[in-house]
Amino acid sequence: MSETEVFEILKEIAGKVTGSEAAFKNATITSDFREDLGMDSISVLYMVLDIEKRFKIRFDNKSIAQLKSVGDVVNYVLKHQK
Amino acid sequence: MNQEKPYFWRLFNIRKFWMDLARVTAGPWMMLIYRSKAIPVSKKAKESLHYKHGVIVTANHISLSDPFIIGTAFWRRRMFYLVAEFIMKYPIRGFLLRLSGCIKVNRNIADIEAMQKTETVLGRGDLITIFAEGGIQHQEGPAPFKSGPVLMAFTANVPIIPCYFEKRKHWWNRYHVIVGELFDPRKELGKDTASIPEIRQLTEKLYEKTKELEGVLHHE
Repeated sequence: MSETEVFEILKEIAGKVTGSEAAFKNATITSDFREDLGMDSISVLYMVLDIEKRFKIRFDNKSIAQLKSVGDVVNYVLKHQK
Repeated sequence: MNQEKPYFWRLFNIRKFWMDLARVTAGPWMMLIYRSKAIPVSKKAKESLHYKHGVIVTANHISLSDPFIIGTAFWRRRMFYLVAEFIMKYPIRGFLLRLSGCIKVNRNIADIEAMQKTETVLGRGDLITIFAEGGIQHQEGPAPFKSGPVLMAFTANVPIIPCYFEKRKHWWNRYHVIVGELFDPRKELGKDTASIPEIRQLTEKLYEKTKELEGVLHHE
């Protein structure tokens, strides 16, 4: 799976989780989940759970703490996907 | 998702030996001390007490005794608790709490590990108690709930049993735990996916149901 494909799926998941798909239309790879996209910890948690199911990967607390931007998550998915 | 274990496995399992031993040895003492009585609000709510699959019990939180009060009200089931990380950080206390079925949760971060553990426990058909206010409250009546319990129930596809109780007037009085009807977030919403605003709406609904239980207790 390419970076662009993961990025598009991620935007779709984040849009569904927050209930505002329009807000994520303009999201870029450098967008920060909390500052640029206005997501709080419960939204991030829900999004990560969805990502785990969609890509069949596992996150831990340490890795989540390091995921700040959309690009960080894309890289994590690409690195851990089987 | 874990396969739900047979009911007997959930009553006794060698891997949960210490937890079950604590339950059968301390349980009767806790019953004598707290004398909790589960009072279902309706015939349908009575089914909540005998529900045999994965389920979350939510309740208000008034003191450190609350896990024992809820535990003795639902004495038929092996019970897991969601506990704030700072309570479990001391080695001996943490070890004993883990042994008795406590799952630590860090309230300051998006705690995915706690979420994964609860999903495993609920998936195999066990019961988790969550004090949905997020900490001990000193006000009258329930305080607004956190969204975590509903999110957990939604993702694990299990219902919630709302409960409410208050401090007893005298030490010799019984604790009356008012038990509500099963609250299934997916059924309430009528679909299998939800956004965070919908999870918050469901949390508000669960809170309202708990407030109704408070009203029932005052009519007792």
